[in-house]
Amino acid sequence: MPESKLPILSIRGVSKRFAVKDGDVEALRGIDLTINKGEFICLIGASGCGKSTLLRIIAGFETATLGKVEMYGAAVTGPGPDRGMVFQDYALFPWLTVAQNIGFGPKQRGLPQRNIDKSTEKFMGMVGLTDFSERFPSQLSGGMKQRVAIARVLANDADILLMDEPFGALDALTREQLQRELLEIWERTRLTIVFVTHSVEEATLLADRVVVMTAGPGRIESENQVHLARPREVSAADFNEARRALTQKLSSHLKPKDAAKV
Amino acid sequence: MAAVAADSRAWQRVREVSIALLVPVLFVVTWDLLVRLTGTRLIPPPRDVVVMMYDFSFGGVYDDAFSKTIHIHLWKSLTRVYGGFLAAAVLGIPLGLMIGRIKLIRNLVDPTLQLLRPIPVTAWLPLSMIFFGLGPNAAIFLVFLGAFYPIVLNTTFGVRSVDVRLFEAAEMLGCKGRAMFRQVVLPAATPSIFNGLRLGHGFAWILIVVGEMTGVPEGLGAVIMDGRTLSRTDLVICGMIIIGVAGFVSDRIIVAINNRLLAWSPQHHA
Repeated sequence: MPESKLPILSIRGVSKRFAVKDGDVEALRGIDLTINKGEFICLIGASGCGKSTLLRIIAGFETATLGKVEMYGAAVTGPGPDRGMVFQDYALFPWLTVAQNIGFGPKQRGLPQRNIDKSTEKFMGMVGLTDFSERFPSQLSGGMKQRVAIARVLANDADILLMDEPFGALDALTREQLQRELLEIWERTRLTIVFVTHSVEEATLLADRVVVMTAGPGRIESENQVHLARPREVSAADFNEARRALTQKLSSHLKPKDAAKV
Repeated sequence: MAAVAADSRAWQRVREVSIALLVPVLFVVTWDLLVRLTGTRLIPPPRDVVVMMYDFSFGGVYDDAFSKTIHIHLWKSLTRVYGGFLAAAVLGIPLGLMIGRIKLIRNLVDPTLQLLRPIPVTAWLPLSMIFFGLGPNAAIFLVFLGAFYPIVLNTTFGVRSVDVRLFEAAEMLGCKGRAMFRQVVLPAATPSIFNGLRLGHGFAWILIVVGEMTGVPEGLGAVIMDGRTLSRTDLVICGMIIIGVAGFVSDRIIVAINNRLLAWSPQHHA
């Protein structure tokens, strides 16, 4: 939670260049960001601002060209169970049932089957999928698949939940419901969450702190605390105000003269 | 309500089967008519083939060398089809997995494989008889060759086309090395492997006649070759029908296993 200011993840001077056909492209430049334990952070920005790349660097799927990422003071060198990723396209194992997907992480750690079953039970219940334990992913709706993906990471005792536009492919009603459920889970588990989105409303609803990024090359434009009390109500006046302030920050660098400069 | 649903499902099945039978029935009727109209002696009418099939199965009509011998020929052909097919699967699946996963093996083996692949199996007939002599081993080798390429290629394809996301997901859940191969690569490639098995199995049946041209005395292919030499066209047609039916039935078995193992993947139900 915001009041416990214990840094869990620190990103220092991270830049990322990708090789392309002729030369290379600078996706990120000089990113500095500290994430505190229990914090809910949203990374927001237009496409091409490098927010997903930054998330993938934190996850360890990509390595930074310059700079370093440290978790509890230890350098991040690759993917690991301490940082659980929830992908937009779910990435569930289609040949495993809901229960087996959730039990996949504990199984890798070689836990006895009894413990695996217990933790699978627990997190299946937390995301409300107990009745669907024997279903395969192909037999689930998008919202249910994303619930499995979240439970799969929770069951693996991740310290940080990394979410890459996780609700982007869902319909509005399902999205709202999953946003509510995610907040409930966050409040119950005290997880740290880094959440990538391009929706200002979603960021305002979820985040303690919103990191606005801009493109060409991707860098951090501003960091904004969201001081709204929880639970937040999207139709409330102060919510609208916060959202409008954020929208302005987000679109200020999209003005024509700035765009030309970029 | 449920009874009505089950009833209409059964009814639907009956209709499906009837529709599927329509073309074969029309075919036999046309065949019969054409034989009568042209008065040809080269092609027997369907009725003669039925009689031959009866004699081939139970004897008591012609009582010659072929009477009541269907089980011998069918059994011999089955051993060759499955011998060649299983050898192709046992060698082809591991090789395909290695070609797909290990770059060195891919660079080492794949070009040669692609060079050999266009050579028709029939072209191997003389060499296979030199390698294996007259007899069943040459037949098994030819069946093996035919089934081998589709199994290797589809297995390789399956391994190569595993969604990168699944590797990332497995990695972040703590899966690596050998466990990754067993828990991600293998299951993800299963649908393709089964495609390869089914194709290879089809080729195995197609090649049984060529395989049994290698001078074996028994087998459905041998029966067809004998029928040709003796101008017993009724016998030739009997052999063709049995190969068709046996191939169909054993394909259904593979499909049933496929559907059982791939219950998770409805688009791979055949």
